[in-house]
Amino acid sequence: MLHEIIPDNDRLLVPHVIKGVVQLDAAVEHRSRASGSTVMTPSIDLDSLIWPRSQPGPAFDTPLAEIVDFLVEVGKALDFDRNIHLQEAAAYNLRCNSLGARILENCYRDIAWFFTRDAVEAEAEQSLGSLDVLDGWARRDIQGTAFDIRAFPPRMVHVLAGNAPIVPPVTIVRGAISKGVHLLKMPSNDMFTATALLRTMADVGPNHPVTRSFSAAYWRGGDVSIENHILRSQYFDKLAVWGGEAAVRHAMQYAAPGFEIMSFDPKVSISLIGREAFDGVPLATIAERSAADIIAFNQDACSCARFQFVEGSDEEVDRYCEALVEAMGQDIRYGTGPDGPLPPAMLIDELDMLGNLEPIYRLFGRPDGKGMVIRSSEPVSFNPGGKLVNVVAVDRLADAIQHVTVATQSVGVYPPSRIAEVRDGLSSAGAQRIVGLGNINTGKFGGLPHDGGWPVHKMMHWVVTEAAKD
Amino acid sequence: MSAVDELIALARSPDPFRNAPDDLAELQLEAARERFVERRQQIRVLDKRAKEAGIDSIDSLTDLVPLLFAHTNYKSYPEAFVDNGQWKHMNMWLGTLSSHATDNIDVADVRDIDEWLDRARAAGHHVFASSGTSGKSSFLNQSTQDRDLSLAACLAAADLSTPAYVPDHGRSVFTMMPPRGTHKMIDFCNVHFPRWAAPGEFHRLSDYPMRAFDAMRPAQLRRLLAAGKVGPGEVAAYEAEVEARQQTRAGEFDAWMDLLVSRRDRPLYIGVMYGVAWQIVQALRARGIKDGDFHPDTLMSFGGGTKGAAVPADYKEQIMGFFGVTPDRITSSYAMVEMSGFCAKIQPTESYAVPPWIIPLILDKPGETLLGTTRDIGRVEGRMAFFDILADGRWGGIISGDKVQVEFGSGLEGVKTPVVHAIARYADLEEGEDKLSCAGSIDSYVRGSITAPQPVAA
Repeated sequence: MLHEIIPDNDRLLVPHVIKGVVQLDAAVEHRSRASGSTVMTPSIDLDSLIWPRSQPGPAFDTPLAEIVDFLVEVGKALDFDRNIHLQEAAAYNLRCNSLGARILENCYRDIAWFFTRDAVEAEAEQSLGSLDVLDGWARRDIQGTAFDIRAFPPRMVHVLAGNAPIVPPVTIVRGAISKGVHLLKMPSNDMFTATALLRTMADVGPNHPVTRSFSAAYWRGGDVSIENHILRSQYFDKLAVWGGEAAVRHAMQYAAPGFEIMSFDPKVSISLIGREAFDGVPLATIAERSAADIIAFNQDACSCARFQFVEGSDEEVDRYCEALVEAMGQDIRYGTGPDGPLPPAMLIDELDMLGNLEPIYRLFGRPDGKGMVIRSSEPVSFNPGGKLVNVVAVDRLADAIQHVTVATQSVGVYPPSRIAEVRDGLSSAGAQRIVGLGNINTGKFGGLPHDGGWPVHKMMHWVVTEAAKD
Repeated sequence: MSAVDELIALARSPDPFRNAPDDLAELQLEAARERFVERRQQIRVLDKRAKEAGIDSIDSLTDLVPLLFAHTNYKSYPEAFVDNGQWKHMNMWLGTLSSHATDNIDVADVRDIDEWLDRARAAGHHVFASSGTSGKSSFLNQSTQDRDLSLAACLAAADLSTPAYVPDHGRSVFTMMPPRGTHKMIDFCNVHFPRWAAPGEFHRLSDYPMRAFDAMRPAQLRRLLAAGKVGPGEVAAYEAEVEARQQTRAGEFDAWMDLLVSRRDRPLYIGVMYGVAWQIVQALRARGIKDGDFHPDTLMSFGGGTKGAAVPADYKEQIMGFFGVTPDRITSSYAMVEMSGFCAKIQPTESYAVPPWIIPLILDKPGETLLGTTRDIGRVEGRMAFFDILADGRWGGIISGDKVQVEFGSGLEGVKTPVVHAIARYADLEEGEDKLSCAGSIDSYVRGSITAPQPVAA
């Protein structure tokens, strides 16, 4: 088990990887924002964080096919049982991340999946429409004139989020496809995943252009002595920021002409459950699908459902809630099992109060880590978390659309046959991803829009040149 | 006579602090015991809490600790009830925290929160509202009995802090407090100041009532905006309305200042919040009034904090110097809305006496362990919590956000009750309060442009 290999050392060493070279010296002391423990990092040489614009990036002219081959090899090396970097990252991350050993290990076991040939190729093809713009200048005839267009490799900084260790592999795969240069700023609650991946890349191809195109470092978010100097258009084109409101708003301050912010904003997710749930498939099975959408990653990811809108009578909805709280206590791959997180302490009193307002509200379960459900006719005014979900009874699924906003990321629908009925309304209200109930956290990576856009497409520096006249 | 009645009778005493019985600690424990037996029959939330904590009787004051309510309990109503005008649901919510049934509140045709509060009052529930900075108001029920007794106790405590002066209908009174509203201090000011005012010399800053709606509206608009339920026109109209109101207030303030200048050679009684007191000093200095240019018998009372006003570090000294008031001419007390009566200032010290019907329960910072109470001797520092025997409309156990230093058995200036020496708010201290983090909701996507509520009078 992971617990057994955690060294009995109070000071964690956070390695940096700069352009494919691992740095292991413990030079700077930080106090981890997430855990309060002491962490040591190498010192940061500001000049080493940039790739001078006067020189092409290492992978600018590497053909995509070669990049895909390399990523596939990296994927093979990302076998948790054989990869010491992943094992070490999992062990160390336990100290600063709240996901727990089980979820972390399962996430790492699934990381190789982001590096499969199908995923990488689909991500490139679907994002860019056509690959000839990636491997060189592609001739286009537009309104009778010839142009050459290229999705030119970008120079990017990525501020990563640590709530689920999916952000580093996604960023690295997309970054590799872009052929650009990428500096990854690691978050305090995941200071190890990104470097574990980059170190694996360095093992597979020590001097490979893709390896040399990435750096990952940790510094305290908002540290102006670093960020003020590097977040400039002279060094980088874009900053991609993932995370909470504070991180995104902070990043926005650096936006300037020629320096663009790409934001993967904080989001919430919901479920829509039609009256078919009470007729046919056992309620326990539907509740299991719901629970998978709700409790994965300790309900800490944007994709985790926090509100469910259920079509049914009061009696039916209550019956569903009973089945749901039971299902939330069960084990799933990305869950902690029955010993899950508790609703935030400051919500406990409010929940207690709502429980006194039966029949307007009804509580199912207790704050014991097995999961709680609160049933109401209007969404509660707080943001449920910590294995707590708000089930809202509605007459028609379409009634839920009024509660959907631009902050709504994923919507899980049961039965999937009703997706078509609600998808335009959901999209118009702001939702970005609509899937069958239970599929929110098992969706495929590669070739699909994300947060209302095509990230690789947005990353690229699109350049047009007038074709030379013969 | 029950222990509860014996302690409550002291609320009518002119000096309950020096008239407290010698066996106060025993009497308080017995009264708490009586209250608990009675209240758990009436208040479902309390009964549930007691069952969960495994407390069947109050055998020592330690047993009260798990039964304390957080002040946030009194604002735990779902905001949707107010937004959607579900006043019957609000009755039900209030009922869960009240000792008297609230289904007698007639909600027919109620249009807003203030009308609901009016109807509650008409049904014998003297609910007072306090506006939190979060934009969510708390609503505490009080019966006619505890409203009247608490008011009498407040008056007595206020007068004790200026022992050399008696209310004689001889002064020009200036107060910011509006004539109507549901804030606890409005009832108090409405009986306190007229006793001091000469005929025609009671000057309020404004007659605009203090409405719960005004305090709750900005947060409600932010909520509706987040949910996409208001258009930009409505938000703009609201912001314009707030600005117009501020301009009216500014005009009223100028006229009020002119009046104050014209009365400055008479004995005054000025009751304001510190932030406004500083504003007055600046306005009068701009009119050429010099420090100390006021009648030497001027009395003042200050309330609240400075609520966001920009004040210099020595603002208190400057204000006192400007009006020429000495500490013996400042009405002062320590209180919170959840407390019946005030902790009276013990002249000539800077300390406050706790009324005998309030059982102080000084806790550790997390609010779990009892560090000191009436039976003890000596000083203890910690979180202020108390059990209010006088409270009749609701459960009297409350835990506050204040960090206090309390001395038991001090006998300071003949006071027989516990004494509060130093008061701060955990939220203002470096050690801070633990906050709930809530990322990822639509709130993040709403620009905070809707005006926050203006500070109100005290």
